[in-house]
Amino acid sequence: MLEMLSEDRATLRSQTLRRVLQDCDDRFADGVHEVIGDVLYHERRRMEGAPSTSEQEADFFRQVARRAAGASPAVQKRVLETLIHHYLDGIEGRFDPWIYGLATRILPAGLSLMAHGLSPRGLLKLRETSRRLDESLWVTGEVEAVRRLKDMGGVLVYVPSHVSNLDSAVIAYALYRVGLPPALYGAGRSVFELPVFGAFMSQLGAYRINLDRQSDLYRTVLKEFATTTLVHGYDNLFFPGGRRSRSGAVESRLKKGLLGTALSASQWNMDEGRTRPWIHVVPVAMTCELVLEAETLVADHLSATGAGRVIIPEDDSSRPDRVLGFMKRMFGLDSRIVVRFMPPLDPFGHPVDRDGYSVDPGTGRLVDPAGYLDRDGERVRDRQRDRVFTDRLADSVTDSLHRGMELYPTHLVARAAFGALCRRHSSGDLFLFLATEGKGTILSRTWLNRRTGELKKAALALAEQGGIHVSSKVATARPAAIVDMAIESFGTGDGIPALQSNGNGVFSGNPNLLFYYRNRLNGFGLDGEPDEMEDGLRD
Amino acid sequence: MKRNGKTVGVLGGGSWGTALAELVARNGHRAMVWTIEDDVADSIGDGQGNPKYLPGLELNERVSATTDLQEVLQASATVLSVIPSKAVRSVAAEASAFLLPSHVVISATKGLESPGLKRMSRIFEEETCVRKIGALSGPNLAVEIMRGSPAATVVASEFEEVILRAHDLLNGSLLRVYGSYDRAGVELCGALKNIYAIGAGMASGLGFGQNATAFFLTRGLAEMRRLGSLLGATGETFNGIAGIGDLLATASSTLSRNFRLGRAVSGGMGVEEAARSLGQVAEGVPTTSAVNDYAGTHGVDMPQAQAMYRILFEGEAPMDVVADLMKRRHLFEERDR
Repeated sequence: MLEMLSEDRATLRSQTLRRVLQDCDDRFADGVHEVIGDVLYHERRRMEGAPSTSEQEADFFRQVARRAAGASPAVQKRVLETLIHHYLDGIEGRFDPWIYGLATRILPAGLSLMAHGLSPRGLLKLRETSRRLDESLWVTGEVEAVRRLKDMGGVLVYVPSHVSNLDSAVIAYALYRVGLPPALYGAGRSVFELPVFGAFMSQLGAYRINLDRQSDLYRTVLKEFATTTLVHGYDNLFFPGGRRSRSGAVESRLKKGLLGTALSASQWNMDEGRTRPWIHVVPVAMTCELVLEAETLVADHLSATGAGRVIIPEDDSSRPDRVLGFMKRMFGLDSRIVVRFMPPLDPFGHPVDRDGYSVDPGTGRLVDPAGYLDRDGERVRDRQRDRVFTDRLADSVTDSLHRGMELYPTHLVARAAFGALCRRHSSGDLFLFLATEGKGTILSRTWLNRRTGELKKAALALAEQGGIHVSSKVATARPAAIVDMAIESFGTGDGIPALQSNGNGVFSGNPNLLFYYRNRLNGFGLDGEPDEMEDGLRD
Repeated sequence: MKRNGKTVGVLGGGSWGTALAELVARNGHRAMVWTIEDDVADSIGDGQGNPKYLPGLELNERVSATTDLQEVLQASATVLSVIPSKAVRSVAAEASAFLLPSHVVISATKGLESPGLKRMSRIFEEETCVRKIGALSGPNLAVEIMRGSPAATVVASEFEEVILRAHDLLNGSLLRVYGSYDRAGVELCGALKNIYAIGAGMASGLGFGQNATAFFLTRGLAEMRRLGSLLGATGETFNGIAGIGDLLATASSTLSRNFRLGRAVSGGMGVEEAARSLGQVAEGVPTTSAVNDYAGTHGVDMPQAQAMYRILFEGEAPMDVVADLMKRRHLFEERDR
């Protein structure tokens, strides 16, 4: 399907333009000068905060401001069209099926080779290591259900959890490996700035999302572009949390704008009289035992001033040597990256059956969701109603992302150890605790083993109810062995490990990292620990 | 009957259900009441009004009644649910066969399900495919409204469509309908205040003056807000019509079933006997039990609600319980945990 994109491009652009203009007409009865004013305000602020803005970009907005000032409504509308085209220029990708095919074919071998260095020995072991990388990625869950929806001509929106800049490559490869067609995906600007990989992002089907652009018009153009591609049959993929999880927790608050495109596109399909109008949303829970950028992400999370940064200077994903070192360590751990496709949802958050029909979760009956769009027997447009339904969809997605999480020893032991550190120290200030008291504490092995065992038991009970997936490493090992595995995993990093062995005890070397990995279990209710600790530690 | 937006189904033929049907009819719509009581359906159908629950009131000709749930739901696009809390889940489950995604359901039942303190509108979400759901609550003593006294109520829903529809159906010279997005808060206010209305009735029966009643109600409101915040309500709602407004009305009027029950119990009547004497359900009794269980299990500090439980369910003497409340050691009003 994506092969058609270059031919479709002009149509996509003109339809997006038409829909954005219509949206502006609907929402701004007093004229488009409000929209233009909002753009100029936000773009000026953005450029003031980004000294590296090109002179060409700055000049473009200066010209827009000059043209719009005191202009007639007709001229203002042309200015608005210019702005929409400008934003579309920055968003549109250039999908190239040849590059996509090549990249997905060589990805396992290429990464394996890089991870083992270009040594003769590495070359000799290429076949084996390539296989190992392939084995390191476990694509599981509702793959057959998703494939069947595709076979029936369905259009999908994939919404994966997101912890690392490597996720974009992993999910693209996962789709390829299970035989699903590639998806267009909205990726933050930072991904395009990755070394080597970033250069191919556009050809791999990515369109740019510039989180720095805050204007209402930009968000509208982005949403309408995604909606238009869905109506034209292109599957979409975007990270619903908006960016990598800084705290380490599974996403609990989602960006609703792009999520709402599933309902918008479905309604457009209904307008077109299509018999199967519904776009389906597929949450994808991605978990790995270690996260390449954990240290910088949690530092960003803890730094109020750094909250807006997308790429931070020492981000490990921006350094090829760190990426390769990380891959190598992951192979050494024999740990798998889990990509779990969760049950597909309709745009209202209902599960769907194998034929794509919506199922009411309470009664288990099939339900025609078109009725939700009716008022007194007629289908009506209602933005507020659609926002509420998108909120419900977001709730279902976050629930799915939690249920699909794979529990690894690092998560479990970090949870147990961090709780013990908090109880050991009386400080009520998380930041002070992490900077001072949390470091260098020795925990009793016996206690940590026992607490890990308790948490494992709670996790297994939750898994019985479908609330989480427990990795075989955790499920089959005794608590002491789980602690050993976690310490080994933490010890493979370049910096100070979260936990280290210390005789009969365990030494907390890097409480920030420990905090990051313990947060992965936020929202599961496995223990009595508070999830959001930034408001103050429990005493 | 052809489905359209002007026929409203009203589940429950008690005083408030009948009053709501009458308000709908006075606004030019048709109201079809569903009741399990044949005599109520017959008297409304015969143009005799509802002498059992609203004696002396002549109903508008656009009010009809039936015992056939399917008929009501298939005739209406909007449904007002005014059935006793203990019957809501079973009725919702039965209704689920006839309710469609296009339906709007507004719950006007002031109660909570135990265990878990589940709100009535949540039960409709769980048992049916309906999602456009609202809750209606406020100081709405049915008899007063039907006598012609003006009143106000709050309709809460995440969907503006639901609020606007309720406004269209019910707003008029007798009832001013306000909107809110805080469905949890509005429902919790309506249910929780009944506990304190029973207490206010007891205070009245025991001959306590206005000081005691004011003390009891304001601390009760603090308990309502405390529990509400845990259950997803917005604090502001408790200061509004559905919160303090409803509390003031219910806890000071002899038209209030809960107030009357409290007064009867303080006079030495057993709870069951007092409830029977009302002839209608006093939702505050099961709500007291549900809240007491929840507060105990979840560690929520609700001394007055728990005191009411001791009187209603453990048979303790009201004066002994009051004496215990007065011995509490907490010093500060705003942080009494």
